Amino acid sequence: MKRFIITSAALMCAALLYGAVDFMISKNHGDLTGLYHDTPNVEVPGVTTTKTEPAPAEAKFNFVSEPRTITVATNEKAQKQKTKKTPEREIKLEEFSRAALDDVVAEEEIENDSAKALVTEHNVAKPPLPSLVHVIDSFATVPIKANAVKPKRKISSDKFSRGPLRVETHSQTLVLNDSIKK
Amino acid sequence: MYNSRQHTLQRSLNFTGQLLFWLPVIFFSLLLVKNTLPYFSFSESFSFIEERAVLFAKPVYKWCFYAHIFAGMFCITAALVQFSGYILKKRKAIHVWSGRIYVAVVMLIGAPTGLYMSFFAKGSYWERALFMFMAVYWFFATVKGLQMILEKNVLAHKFWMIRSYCMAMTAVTFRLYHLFFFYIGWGHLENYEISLWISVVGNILAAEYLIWKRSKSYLQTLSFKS
Repeated sequence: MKRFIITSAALMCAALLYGAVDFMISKNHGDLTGLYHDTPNVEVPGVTTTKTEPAPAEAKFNFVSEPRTITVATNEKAQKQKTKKTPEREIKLEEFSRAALDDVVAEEEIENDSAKALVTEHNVAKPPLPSLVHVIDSFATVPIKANAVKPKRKISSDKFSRGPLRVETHSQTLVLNDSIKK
Repeated sequence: MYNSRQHTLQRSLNFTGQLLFWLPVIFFSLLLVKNTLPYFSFSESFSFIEERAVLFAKPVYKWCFYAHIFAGMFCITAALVQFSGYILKKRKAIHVWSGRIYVAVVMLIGAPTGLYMSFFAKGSYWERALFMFMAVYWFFATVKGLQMILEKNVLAHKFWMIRSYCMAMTAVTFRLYHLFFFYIGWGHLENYEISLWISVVGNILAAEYLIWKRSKSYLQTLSFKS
């Protein structure tokens, strides 16, 4: 029995020494590079998943009313064509128009065609028209200079479907045309 | 006064407690054995092996792994019958032979292969050190258990074997904690590391509590002398 215990103890010592030497050699030769980091790719190649991001909290003021849908490719090849998202640009009330929205989308660097199509479909094809409440709320963000009268701005009806909107900042009133009043 | 009703109630409570402890232990031990069996197809398509593809390129590591899981299966199955009072009294030969299998498998296969593989374990140096400690403690507790029974010190044999078995059972408890933390949404690596620490430390504490409860002088049970 003593011999059995000694044999097993010798085995333990051998395992300890061999393990230490093997570990040091493997580490120095770089054989352990990528160990536990290259986890198996469980995704099916060629299959894409659709991720929907929630609309940001400040969407009301940025006029981004709908969640943006980005298609993310999961296979290796398509990973390279991953969509790039630029930080959202704030659109001031003065800039707001259908034409301005078109410019914003065109400026975004979207490399993936499918993502571009989705973004275009959601944000450009049906741009959210600001309701009257939104327009009034947005006035809070417009800086007002004392006794300064801004030049009246005309927006042609083809750019803004609800017709011309005239803003007088010194009196904080909206002058709407007859069609909106009705 | 300790009347017969109180005595019966006490015995019923003890029996229920034993049942509540052993039924999950037996179930999860057999589940672990069942989940280990597919590895003996020697296929490399298991996620556990794919994750360690670099290590499995080494023949020594590969055969240590298979030897270790083979030993683990035997240890866990053999140990299940070791704590049965009925088998110990009525079928002592079963206890003796399964004990011999357990001791041989731990000392010659399980602990040495575990010690070698601990150098390449997942996690930081602390987790590797913990695996080394497990292998050494498992080996030491088993040797002490064997020594004690050879010296006919049954009580000390029992205590050291409880310590040895608690190390073998870390394989089961680790998976339970891992599963629990997975369902509460913990990340993979922190889940792995914390489950490992809780299972090892928790099992040691549980074993020491059981020994402390059963021994008149707890400190004497820690003595290396027979």
